[in-house]
Amino acid sequence: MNKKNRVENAGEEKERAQSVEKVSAADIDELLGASAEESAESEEKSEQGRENAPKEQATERKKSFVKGGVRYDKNGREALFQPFTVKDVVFLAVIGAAALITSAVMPLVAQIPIFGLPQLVTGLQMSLFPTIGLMKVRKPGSVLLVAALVSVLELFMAPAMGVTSLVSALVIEAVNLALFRGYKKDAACFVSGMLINPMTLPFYYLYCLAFETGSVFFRAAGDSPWVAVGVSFAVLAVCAAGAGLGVLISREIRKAGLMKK
Amino acid sequence: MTAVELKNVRFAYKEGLTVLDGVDFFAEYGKITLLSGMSGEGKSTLLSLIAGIIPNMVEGELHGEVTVAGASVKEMKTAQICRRVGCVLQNAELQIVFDVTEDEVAFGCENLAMPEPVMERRVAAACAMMELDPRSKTRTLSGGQKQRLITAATLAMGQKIIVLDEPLANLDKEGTHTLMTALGKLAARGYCVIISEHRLDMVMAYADEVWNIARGKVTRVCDRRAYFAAQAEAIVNTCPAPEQSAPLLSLRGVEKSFGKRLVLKGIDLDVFAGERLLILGQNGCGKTTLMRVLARLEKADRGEIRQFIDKKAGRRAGKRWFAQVGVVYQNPNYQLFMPTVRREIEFGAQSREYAREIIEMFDLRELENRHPQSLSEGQKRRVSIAAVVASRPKLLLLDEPTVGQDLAGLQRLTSVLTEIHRRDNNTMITVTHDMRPAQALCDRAVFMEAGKIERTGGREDVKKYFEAFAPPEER
Amino acid sequence: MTDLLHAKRPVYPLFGFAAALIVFACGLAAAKHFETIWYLCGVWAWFLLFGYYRSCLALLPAAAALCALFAGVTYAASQSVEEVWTAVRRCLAVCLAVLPGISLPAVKFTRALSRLKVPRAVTLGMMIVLSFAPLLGREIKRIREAMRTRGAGSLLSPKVLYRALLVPFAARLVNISDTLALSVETRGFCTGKVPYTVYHPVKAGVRDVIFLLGLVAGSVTLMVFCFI
Repeated sequence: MNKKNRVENAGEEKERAQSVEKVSAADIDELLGASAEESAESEEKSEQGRENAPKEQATERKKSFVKGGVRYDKNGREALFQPFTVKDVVFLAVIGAAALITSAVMPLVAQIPIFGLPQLVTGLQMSLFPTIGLMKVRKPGSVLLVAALVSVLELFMAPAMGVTSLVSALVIEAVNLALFRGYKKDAACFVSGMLINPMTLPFYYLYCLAFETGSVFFRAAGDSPWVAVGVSFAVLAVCAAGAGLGVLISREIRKAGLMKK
Repeated sequence: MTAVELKNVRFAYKEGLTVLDGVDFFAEYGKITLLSGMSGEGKSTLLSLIAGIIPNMVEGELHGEVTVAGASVKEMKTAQICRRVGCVLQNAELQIVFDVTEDEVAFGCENLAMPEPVMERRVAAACAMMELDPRSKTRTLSGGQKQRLITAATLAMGQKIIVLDEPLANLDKEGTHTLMTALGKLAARGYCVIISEHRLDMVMAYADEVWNIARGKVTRVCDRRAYFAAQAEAIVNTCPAPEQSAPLLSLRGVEKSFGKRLVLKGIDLDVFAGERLLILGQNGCGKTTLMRVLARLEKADRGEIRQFIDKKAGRRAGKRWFAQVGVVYQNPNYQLFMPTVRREIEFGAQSREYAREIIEMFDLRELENRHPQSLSEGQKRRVSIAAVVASRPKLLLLDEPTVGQDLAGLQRLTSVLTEIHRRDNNTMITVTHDMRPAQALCDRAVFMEAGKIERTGGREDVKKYFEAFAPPEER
Repeated sequence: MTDLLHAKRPVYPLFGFAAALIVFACGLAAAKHFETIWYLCGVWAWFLLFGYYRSCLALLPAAAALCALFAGVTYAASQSVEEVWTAVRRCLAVCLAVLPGISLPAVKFTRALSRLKVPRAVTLGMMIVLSFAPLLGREIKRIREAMRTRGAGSLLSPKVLYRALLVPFAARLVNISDTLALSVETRGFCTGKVPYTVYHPVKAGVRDVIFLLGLVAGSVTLMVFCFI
């Protein structure tokens, strides 16, 4: 439906593009005069697109419908999977940016050959901020969305890390759905927030094995896998502390009236 | 022709705070309409109503009729309203998503599904109008340029009704002129421009219509000079002039630059113990940087700064220094962190008894169990001043302390600061744009321009300084 | 952060990403073979040929330092010169895989994704993550500064860290995101299925296909040489 209306691909616009002339600052007045008319024109076109959207919704309404930003199922009950609003996406992105900026130390420690050390160093912030995000948004898929947003940088900087984050986010979402069916409860936010970093450890281990970098890692740790096991438990403990702090902070700022939907 | 009309509008936020109470207002195409009033009186709320932010994005109880471009906002979704009304919000820095100016300006056009050639023209026109280089990096822009960028991003969308919420906050004289001239051009082409601003001196000369908002009502201003004079009514000074004293701080040839921009250009200044020094000047003249250098929050690149406050404090900006030097930030949100107002004030206070006294003096008893982050901006400001004052600093630095205060609150705040000054004989340095308390917080004034101290003077000079901004009768 | 390293005409972002993955996988898989070094040099020259001058040159000192570090650590752990060379080749492969990423302006990547119908909420979110990280860094600095002025300077105390840094920072995050969300919505952004256009759309051209084909050919040759 939208394909027809998507002006981006329309042949008509391609023709118009060819006829466009470069503008200079001196033409501002004329441009403003012209732009008002063009605005009305483009508004009409886009409005047609928007009008089609409700029609589609109307046909879908037999199954489920969205009212006041909340999706309901065919029986009128609140659906498990809620749509993300602009506010949700922006908040989760800002949370992702906060986690990223406070984890800037990771590339440095990544060079130290101890299994799990990068996760240990970033555990607190990588659990604290996403937990705050979950406590505010409380929609299934939030962990996956944060991971997808953050992994864009990771994918280019260290492809393995980006893929690992995405896969572990998927596992966390599955665990959440199985145990809590969403993030309505604070405990659900805590568990998912806590697991974000430790969940990457098994995948990291597989990566080390796959590319034979594991041997060097373990040898540097003193020929003993127990060091790796110990670090893994430490990661879990640090992440639990981070997620706990995230829950506490969220409760406090909710009390201050800042966690409005 | 009427573009925006409000009839008997009442609005209360979800928390129960009634901001607009029976408002009748209109704005026409072809005119710049100025909405004036003190912070916290509801200017932003009224603009949010016109832009459809209320009731679509901010919940609350809305009564009455709000009509925008002939349609009721209650019947429109944000996506529809934003095609009719362009909205420029405060805090430009927090709204920039893209790295390059033209991408940021094009964002709104992309959302309106404009064809690429149209977008190209709009982006070029909006950038030219706001005097921006389309290829420049957004991160390197100054505060004023960022404000102009966000304005350009809205103008490029091409709506016929433009609302701007305090757009001059980061603009200097030239920046203001650029923006207001551009808006004047739009108005001349039949656009409806609505601008909210409390700095009348900067915008009144450009406005076609002036409305005042106070205590939930909006009234049309007919006699501009009388209105301006009433707004500028100064609070009377009640503090006697200080006796001649030794310097507390002495600056010689102080320079400070950020990147290639030299912000302070050889400042020579003595701050005397027990005096109240007022720093005045246009946006971007270096007032806040000077204040930060005095507070040791920034290091001067060149020059000598000698302090006679505490010999043991040395040159470090440590705990000992800040025990003697109280700094009140322009934005109180950074300085508030305790779970209740009472504990916030007790945190740095000399004793619980003194904290209690401060709570009473600042009229915060009713708020003492509230979370500081839950307060209005004006209340937060009062709490942050009270919390800093409670530590009884010898030197008190106040950056725009009066923002968000109504006249009664302002009078009270000024008298409390004066009383504390008289009692503790502290030294106060205030940076302000607000003409009302300026004379009452001043024994001596420093007038800055382009990073230099142009001259110093007394209360009479402060009065003349603000009078020079009085607007002409009509545009 | 990496503005100075951006290529003037980067290859189509998804091809760049594919190239990064291929170099990363092939480089690591064949790191034990001496011939891999020629492959890595070839990849570097291939990037140079396609206009990645700045990042290619900037990579040299960084890669040298990292290789030295890796080599030292590996020698300390294994006492084997052979393993040291393997570590150096691995390190070089990782560094080369980073090249397309640091040379690419983020907006080109999100625009390429927009053309592939990736939801706009995701592409906008990606832009926010990338552009707000430095701003949040400044926010943390301001809060730390404000803490000092109120006499709560030490981050070693967990209580102070929680009260004076984390709580105000979380409150700022909420404020910032609320302002940004309002701004984005009033500029017409919606999350649903609504029409939109892309400013300066990013498409794959013949040059991009040649780039990818050349890289794939090189990688296949390496694999054949090393494993068959």
